[in-house]
Amino acid sequence: MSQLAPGAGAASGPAPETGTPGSRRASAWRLLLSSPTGAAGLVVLAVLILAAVTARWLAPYGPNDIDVPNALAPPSGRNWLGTDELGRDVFSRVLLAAEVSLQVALVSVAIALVVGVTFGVIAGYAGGWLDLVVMRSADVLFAFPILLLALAIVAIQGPAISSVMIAIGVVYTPIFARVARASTLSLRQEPYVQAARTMGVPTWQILLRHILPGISGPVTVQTSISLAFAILSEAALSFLGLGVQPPNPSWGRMLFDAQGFLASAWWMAVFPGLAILVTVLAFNLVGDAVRDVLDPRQRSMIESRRKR
Amino acid sequence: MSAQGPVRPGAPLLEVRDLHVTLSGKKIIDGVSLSVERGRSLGIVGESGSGKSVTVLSATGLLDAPRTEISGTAAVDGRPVIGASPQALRQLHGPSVGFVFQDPATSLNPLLTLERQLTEGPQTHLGLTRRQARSRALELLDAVGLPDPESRLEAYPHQLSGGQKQRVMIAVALACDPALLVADEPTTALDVTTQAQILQLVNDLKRDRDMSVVWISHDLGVIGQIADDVAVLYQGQVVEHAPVKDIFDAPQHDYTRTLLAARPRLGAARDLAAAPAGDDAPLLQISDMTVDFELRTSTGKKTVRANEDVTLHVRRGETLGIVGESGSGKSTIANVLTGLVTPVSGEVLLEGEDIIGVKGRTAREVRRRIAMVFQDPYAALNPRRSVAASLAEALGAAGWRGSVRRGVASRDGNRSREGSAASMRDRGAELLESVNLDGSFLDRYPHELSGGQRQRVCIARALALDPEVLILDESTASLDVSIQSQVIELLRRLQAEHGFAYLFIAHDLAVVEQMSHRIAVMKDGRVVEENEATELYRAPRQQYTRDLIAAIPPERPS
Repeated sequence: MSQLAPGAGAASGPAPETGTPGSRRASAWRLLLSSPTGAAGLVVLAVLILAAVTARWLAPYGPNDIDVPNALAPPSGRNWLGTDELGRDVFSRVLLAAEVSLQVALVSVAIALVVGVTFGVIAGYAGGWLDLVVMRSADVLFAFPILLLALAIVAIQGPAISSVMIAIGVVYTPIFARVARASTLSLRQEPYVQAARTMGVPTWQILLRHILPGISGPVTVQTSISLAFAILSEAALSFLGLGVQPPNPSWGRMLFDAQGFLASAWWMAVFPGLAILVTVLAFNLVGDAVRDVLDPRQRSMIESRRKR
Repeated sequence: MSAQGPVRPGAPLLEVRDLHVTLSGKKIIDGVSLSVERGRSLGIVGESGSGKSVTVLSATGLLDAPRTEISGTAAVDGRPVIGASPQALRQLHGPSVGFVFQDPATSLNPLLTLERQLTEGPQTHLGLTRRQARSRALELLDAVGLPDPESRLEAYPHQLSGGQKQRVMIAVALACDPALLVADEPTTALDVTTQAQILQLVNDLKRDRDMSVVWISHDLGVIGQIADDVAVLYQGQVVEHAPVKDIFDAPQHDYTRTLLAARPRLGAARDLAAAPAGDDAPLLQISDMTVDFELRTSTGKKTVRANEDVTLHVRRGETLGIVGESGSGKSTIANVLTGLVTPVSGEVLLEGEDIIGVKGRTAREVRRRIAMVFQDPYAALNPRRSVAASLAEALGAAGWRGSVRRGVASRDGNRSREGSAASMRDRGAELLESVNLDGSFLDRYPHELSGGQRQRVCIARALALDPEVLILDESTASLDVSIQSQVIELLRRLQAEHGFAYLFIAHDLAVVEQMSHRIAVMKDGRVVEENEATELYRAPRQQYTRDLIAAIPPERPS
């Protein structure tokens, strides 16, 4: 079965029953895991998500358990990653912040994905004035510096997790719209889409059957990269005091609090920073690996390397 | 210049011995031996996948795909190629070997003027100054018959037509006065009249410069025009290597005979079903149709007239062939009939009812009655969807409800024809059977099918609509000759069984003759001549038609 993965059968003509959708997807997963960086990224992500979900039970202390006599304690057996200026356990706070950060990233990217892809596909497929209006609006959104736009939205909505999600979602919408539109434009010209049109297949069916599955590759890649940037944006907004509100922990807020103690308590800045770095890196690695697996040319190279 | 091998007098210019090539673990070339004498030409024929290009590319040191294993020997002018260093190869390629590839549109750098592309080689390899190289470039453009070379030097590739680009490619290949010209399907993407000119040009150049030519083609007619010797490749092996006359007159190998028999020939026996009686009302009538396209150029909008006052008709059970060169507006007719393009004037009547600009349910009914089979079977099927799903889509568009994928009945729509899922799957299998594929193909994916099988699936998909008119837009052009003749046979049988009206759009006049009752010749968006097929070939009325017919490579080499 693995020897006759899609792509290998193409040149050898009719091959026996191999290419069910299930086996296609399974082999994509297998290819993803076979790339060392992709596998590493996936493992790190899995650990992160697991930690975030179970943070409540995993954390040795409550995030806001103040213990002033024990403030600014360096990493030790009692507080693995040390304590902050109020004696709160940095390890517990980093763990619990993971939950918030991932939640914000997932929800905001989901908003951007749904809205952006919808507009992008419609604009790309319909063309004409609709395309013009949608894409110029996206350009205007795009022209704002990301943080500035997010700042404006948070300023209007008031600082809260929901406004952070909406802000980041809005900011990333034009990127998805562009990716979706560009892929739709080239897919539209594919003879199989033309064939469906000449047969009188309703437009919504063409969009669902041919266009959406066809653009899933670039959109998936964009999603994983956007997740990484959404984590960064959330940290930046929280750092500026516009994101997650104290006393709830968040990586960006922790970095902000650590500013005053950089010389005396390096652990307050280093560990939330490391958490951001590892998460962003993991998303990027997975994004790169996914792109390689979904690109047919790269894919056959990976496959031929594996077969050796 | 560095590896001066022993040049024996009378030794072949290109000699390949026992060449084996393995690409990604797959054996592509299995023990090929070839030789080309100085001043002679070798034609290499074979169907797609037979290893024609790989043989020549690896024998000249151009094959650098990852995971390639090459063994055997190949020498150009006595200098070894296989295992040679990149430097040695560079010194070989410019001055000794020139290359021309299939697609002139992608072989020239769009960002450089012709002068830059033509002077690059001579300046590097022959040590010419810019001025000398420029006058050489002029000579070359003149030699390849490009009109007004002086002004062309400043031109960019996009300002040339396809045939002109291929001439420039040949000029680039000749720039360093190579002893060997390698041409890989150089006329396949060109019109027949252009092809005839290029063939003439290469034959002249070969004679004037005492140059050797290796010409790769799937088309025996072209090979017959250019080659002194022919090598027939089949599954990575040379099955026959003989002078061209012997190949045509006394083919030794079965495969060569198959190739010769399968190729479309003018005047080959036609066993078309008799055309319907002449007094039938036409099923489809196109009257005075004019189509414009708006092109956005750097200087503003420009209107291009794709069709002008086109009047054609086709009756039930009849095939109307439409021939013409690229850009003559053949495909625009197909696009109007399938609703992809709206004409600016004129009318298209399907059984007396105008189908232009129809909307909603009427439009769906019209789309069902006029089906189309596309040129490229590799692109016309969605690679992510099984054959069953592709057929289901067409059946759905024709009003069937249900799923062919699973044996579970889904809810019947109110316009359901027969309804249940099982019957839809049965219908899919039935359709495949009518194109000579068995029902097991339902669960396959396009990448598991050969080109011919894919085109059959595309035909089955068109049949799923239960159409009355079938548009065949170059539907056999991308298939190998043996497959092509099978598909033509299939199309003829289907017409006899169902009484379809065919619009057969093609550039290959021999294929059109085999298929069509009547033929319309198009040039610059207009129909210049229309006649019964036999009449048109016997007594063409227009000079343009005569040119087209004259440009077809003759059946045998002269």
